[in-house]
Amino acid sequence: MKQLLIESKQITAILADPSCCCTFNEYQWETLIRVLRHEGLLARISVQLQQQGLLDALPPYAQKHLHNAAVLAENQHSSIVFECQQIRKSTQQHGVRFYLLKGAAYVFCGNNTNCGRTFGDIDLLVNKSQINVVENTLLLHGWLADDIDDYDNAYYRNWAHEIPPLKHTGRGSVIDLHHNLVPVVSGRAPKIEYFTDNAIEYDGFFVLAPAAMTLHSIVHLFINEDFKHGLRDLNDIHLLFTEYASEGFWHELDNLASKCGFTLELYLACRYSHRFFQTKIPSEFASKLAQCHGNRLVNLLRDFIFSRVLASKHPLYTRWSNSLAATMALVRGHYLKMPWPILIRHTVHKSYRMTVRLLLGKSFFTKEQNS
Amino acid sequence: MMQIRLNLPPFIFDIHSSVGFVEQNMHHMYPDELFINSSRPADYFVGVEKANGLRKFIRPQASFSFDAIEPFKTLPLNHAYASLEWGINYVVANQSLQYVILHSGIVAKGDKAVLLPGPPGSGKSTMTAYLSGRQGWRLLSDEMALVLPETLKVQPFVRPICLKNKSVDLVKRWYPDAKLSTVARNTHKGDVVHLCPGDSSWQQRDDLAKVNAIVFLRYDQRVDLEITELNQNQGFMQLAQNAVNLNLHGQQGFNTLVNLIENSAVFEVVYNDVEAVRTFLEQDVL
Amino acid sequence: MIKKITTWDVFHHETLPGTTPKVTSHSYTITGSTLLHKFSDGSGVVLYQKNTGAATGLTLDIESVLARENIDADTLKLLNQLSASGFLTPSPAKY
Repeated sequence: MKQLLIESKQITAILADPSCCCTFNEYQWETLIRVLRHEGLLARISVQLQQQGLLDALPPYAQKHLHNAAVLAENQHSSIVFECQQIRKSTQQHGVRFYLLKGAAYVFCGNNTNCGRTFGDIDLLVNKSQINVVENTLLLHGWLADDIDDYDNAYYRNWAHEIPPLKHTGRGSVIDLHHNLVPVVSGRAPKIEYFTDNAIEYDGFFVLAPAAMTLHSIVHLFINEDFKHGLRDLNDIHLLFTEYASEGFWHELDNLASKCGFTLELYLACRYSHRFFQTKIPSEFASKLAQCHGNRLVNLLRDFIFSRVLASKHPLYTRWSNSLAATMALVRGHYLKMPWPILIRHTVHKSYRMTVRLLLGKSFFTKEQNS
Repeated sequence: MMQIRLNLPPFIFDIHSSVGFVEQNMHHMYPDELFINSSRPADYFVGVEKANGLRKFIRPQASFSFDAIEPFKTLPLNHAYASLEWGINYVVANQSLQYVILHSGIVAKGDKAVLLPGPPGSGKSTMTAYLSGRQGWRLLSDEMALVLPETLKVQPFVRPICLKNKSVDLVKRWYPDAKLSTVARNTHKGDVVHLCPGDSSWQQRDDLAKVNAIVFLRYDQRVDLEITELNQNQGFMQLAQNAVNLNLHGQQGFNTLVNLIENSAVFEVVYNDVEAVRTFLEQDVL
Repeated sequence: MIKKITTWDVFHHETLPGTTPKVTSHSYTITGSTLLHKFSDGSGVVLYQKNTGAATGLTLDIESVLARENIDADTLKLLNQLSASGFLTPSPAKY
């Protein structure tokens, strides 16, 4: 096998401390840029290097790509702000209280996680009783649900914590409209007020308070079966932990996780954020979580899965054990989200689709588009 | 299995394909000196490979990839080489923010360039192919003009010209020695063939040119030559329709378009005779 | 084949769906994200909305129209459209 210029471990080291790529030559940059672009983290490193005043000393090749990535991210941020203004304008007669989640929240509150954060969708949370009126109003203003099959639609409506994504017909922006943070079907959906209490207003939108925002990012990552953006999402959590670290924050986080039953997810986030990025986590806080959840044998299995599915998934790092870990994470994620009878139905349906794809190619379910 | 590094100024592409005729076309279309070893880092990694799925036994498919991402649906295997060329355009259009990119043909006589924007069917590629082969002229690109922000300067991006349907026969008639790729049949643009540009275009692949005129073309069989001078407002609106990444450049992108319009002659040309267009450009525009 | 792409075609020159807002006052100003250029050949002005990528050419002098006290129904209709497309924003009523 060809020797890699940058090992997967180095990628996380760079995310923990971008200054360590300052000595890289152009060949190392070639690999690093490929991998970071694939993980949606090129802009983040770019902005961090710029903030530390290290960008100008890099080889022109690296500067060019880092600069482009930062411009793309910056552009996404201003279109997110614009789209949010449009959403508010469209719905203003209904007096809806919008909570921004994840990427959009980071942009509005301007924290460190906002730096070079790239994202696809706008995640919004509203009160469940308002979801219909918001959906209908957005529809009038050009945000339509993508064509999905009846099964997926029913899944969203009955079991999910959000409605099917709404896409703007003209501008292509996509809204994920939530009424909770965790799928209802999992039986673990928290009382949403625990999260939305103390939310902070920015330009007419609400952003969850730091502990709630952090716990949501954690829950979103660890109660899931898809780790496509695993490395970026874990890096978000690392940045949130690092920026908000204060006695009050850790206390609030512990309190909220206990009340809502997410202490295992909090434990996993601390464990892997520290392992990947050497995040500073108060030892008392960490050991309290470890007492509840730190079973050594279980951790062996968890480490096998998460050290792989959270690491870079660029083909340069493809190993057979990674796909095994991904499959295990998929099963685990589905199991966390759904009770067995529903999971079996879901799996049967999805594997039928997978079989069709395998036989007929992946465009079978895609409608023909005219170009 | 082909794994090559191609110097396509201003970019370096790393390209892989295990489809036999893709490799043959690449060597037929691109001069030898563009094939370089990996001593210089590649900007983008792309490839075109046979697609998986059992359908491959019934109707073989090919899929373009940009590093690990497959941005398009699979296409018939016969389109593999064309889709690689289009894929390279797609990557540049989406990733290369150092340029304001216009979807337009662009040719130059010396360092004086003419932008030839036009919708599909306008004869833009045919006209570009014709002009770039005439004495003193050269190709900068048949698809995208890479404009340096807030200047009139255009960076060449010399590549094979994409010819559709009947224009292939015209080009063969004008340039009997032209090097052509294999045919991609029934693509979304019709039957497609790529044409290798002439030596002078390749030789001047690093030489910037300055935009002198913008000519919106429309082929009409019934009209020999009809020239309308556009005012700046009309010209701007038409040019903006052809801007690929304008929104990513904000104020700077807007200034670039304004600057181009304010400093160029802008025409709409309806034609059926390419030679008449050349005469007009040489005598009245440049 | 370009249809699946995000940045390529999404933000380009789409005129927003014409959802005309209810306007009680005809007083408008150009929004902060709109760029304006007056052409030197006297052919008018162009407005460019940075967020949506929408561009529109006008043959009238928009700045002087906006400064005017009274405008006719047709011009008001145009201003309403420009507002719906994000080029103009209703300004606070003058007293």
